[in-house]
Amino acid sequence: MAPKEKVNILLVDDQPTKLLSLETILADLDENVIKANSADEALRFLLAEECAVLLVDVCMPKMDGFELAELIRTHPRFGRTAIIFISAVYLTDADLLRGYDLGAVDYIPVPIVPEVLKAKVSVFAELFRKTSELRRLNGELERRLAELDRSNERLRFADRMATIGTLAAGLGHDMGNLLLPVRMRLDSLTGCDLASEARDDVAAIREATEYLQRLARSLRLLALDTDVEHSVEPSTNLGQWWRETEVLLRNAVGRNAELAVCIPEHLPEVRLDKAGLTQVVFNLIQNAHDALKGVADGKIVVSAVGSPDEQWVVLDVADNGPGMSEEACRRCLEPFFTTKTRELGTGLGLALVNGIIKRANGKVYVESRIGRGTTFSMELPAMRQATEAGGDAPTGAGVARVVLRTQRLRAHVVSILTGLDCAIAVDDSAEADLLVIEEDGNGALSAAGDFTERHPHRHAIVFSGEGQGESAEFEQNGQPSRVIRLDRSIRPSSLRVRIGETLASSCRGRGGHA
Amino acid sequence: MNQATNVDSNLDRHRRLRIVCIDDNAMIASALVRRLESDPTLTCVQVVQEGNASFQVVREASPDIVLMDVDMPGVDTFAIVERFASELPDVRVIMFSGHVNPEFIDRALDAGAWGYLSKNEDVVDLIEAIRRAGQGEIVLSKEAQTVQRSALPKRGP
Repeated sequence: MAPKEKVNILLVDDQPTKLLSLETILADLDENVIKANSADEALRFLLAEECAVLLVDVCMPKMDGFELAELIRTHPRFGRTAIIFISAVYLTDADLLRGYDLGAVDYIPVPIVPEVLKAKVSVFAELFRKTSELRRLNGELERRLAELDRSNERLRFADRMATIGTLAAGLGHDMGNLLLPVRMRLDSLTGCDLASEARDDVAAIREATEYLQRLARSLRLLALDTDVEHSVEPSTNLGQWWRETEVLLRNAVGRNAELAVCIPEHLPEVRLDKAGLTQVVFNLIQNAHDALKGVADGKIVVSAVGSPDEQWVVLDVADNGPGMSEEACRRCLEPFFTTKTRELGTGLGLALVNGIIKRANGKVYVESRIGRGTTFSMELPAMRQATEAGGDAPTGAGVARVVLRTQRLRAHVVSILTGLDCAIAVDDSAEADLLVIEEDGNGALSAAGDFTERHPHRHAIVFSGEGQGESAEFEQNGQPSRVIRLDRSIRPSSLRVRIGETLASSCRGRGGHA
Repeated sequence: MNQATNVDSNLDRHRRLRIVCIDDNAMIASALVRRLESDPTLTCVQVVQEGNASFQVVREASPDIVLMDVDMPGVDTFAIVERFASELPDVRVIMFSGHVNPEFIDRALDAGAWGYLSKNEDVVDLIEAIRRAGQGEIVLSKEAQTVQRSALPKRGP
């Protein structure tokens, strides 16, 4: 059990001897006992400290016990202090009643019975302690409730985001699915002998379809767990992107505002796909355009600048519109937050912007000043620049010789190696890192042995008959073997992992020995 | 060592590649037929819009390629592919979907599919992939390749 927290017991009497005797009686209780020689002194103490029990002599010069009690009771701060009167005189019923009237919890006559006094005081001390604990718990409860409220709000927000994500992803998928027959029909039409007007029509429809496809893709990007997310290994050259999308983006500005662009050529590429970037900037430009309605010389500036360490590219979309309130500025990235009338805005544009940028591991910052305008800054991770030298480091890709007769197996192996950027050697002479060979009475195992012997970095994979289990590795003098045996019937997903590991070992070895 | 490269002994290269399309979406199925038929090297011999009927149809049509939608109502398309692979090993199934994720690709290939194509891919690339599967290649559309690559365990330096 935790040690009890001592409470204050204040003794008030004008006679030091009586104070001393009270103190002696109460010493056993192991609380803080404070002595005051007068009502004044008692009040001074009470103003500074909380007190559990007040033992007051009724009969004191200047201010007596009753007067002190009356003063104390008018102050809410002392409401919890138990007042016990002690008196040798004033023991009539009227005196007792007056005492209780003033809020006393007890009225103890002198001579005092020490055990009784101790018992009474200790009950009130305990009560005070319990009340304090209750208060503390209550405070804690309130704090937790407030916290719960906040997390509920966050949950509702996340829920809303998830709902939007699901909705958008579903819509994106359906759109994508239905765009496929459209694209296929267009493709079929392209092969037909069409009049030149019809060819123009087909081209226009194709262009619109491509835009819709990008849109469908962006919608799928809004989902939390999207397929697209996995395929993000994109990189976009901002200058090139701008040239491709300028027409679309300038259209979003209309005539009442000027669009200025400053995107330097030498910027590193950003890790964000073009469609996502287009969606982001399209939304921001549309917002800026809406903000500039009624502004005489409205201007939108799209600019990009690279960080000195080339880790980031910051893309800004700024306007000189009326600016946003502090609240709007803080909340504008939330879904459904809009300052526009409903016909104009769904409140989703900036949430989408935020979603796309976050997914690309970037950040969005908003800066706005009333009367001056708003700037959205997007910090986008940059692609690492390829080294000029072309790389002495192993490309990791390597070269593999593939000698397989089983067509399906061969197809899988080639597909996996190609997916790993590994070149397939066409003849014996090539400096291969990896040999993939199949046992069919052709001495594949000894060929694999020879192959790995000749260079210490090389590995070989030997496929053999079915039913031997997925893989078995030889031990060579306690060293893990560089000849890996796999069963012909290995599942493609496992095969991919094994080939990946083996090729990596080979290429690592080559790097180390080069 | 090149004798096995891309030569499929089962296939007469002058003959059209015979394809069965399985997709519950009529608009996609009919557009596929139209597009495949417009190519002189391909022909769509059957269209199935219902998963359960597909096995019977494919067995009778005995095509070179089956193009199969992954998301068909009421059927486990991966199980169907497995059945094709074990009972009709000469038929090459390519799975085809708007959903491209590493799990689906692995399940498709492990079930015995010869490829996984994304419905969001360029039509020209899709057609080319079907042709390459006919020549004995495992085909993954661009999106599927990136997805699979990003799901690979990270290789050491």
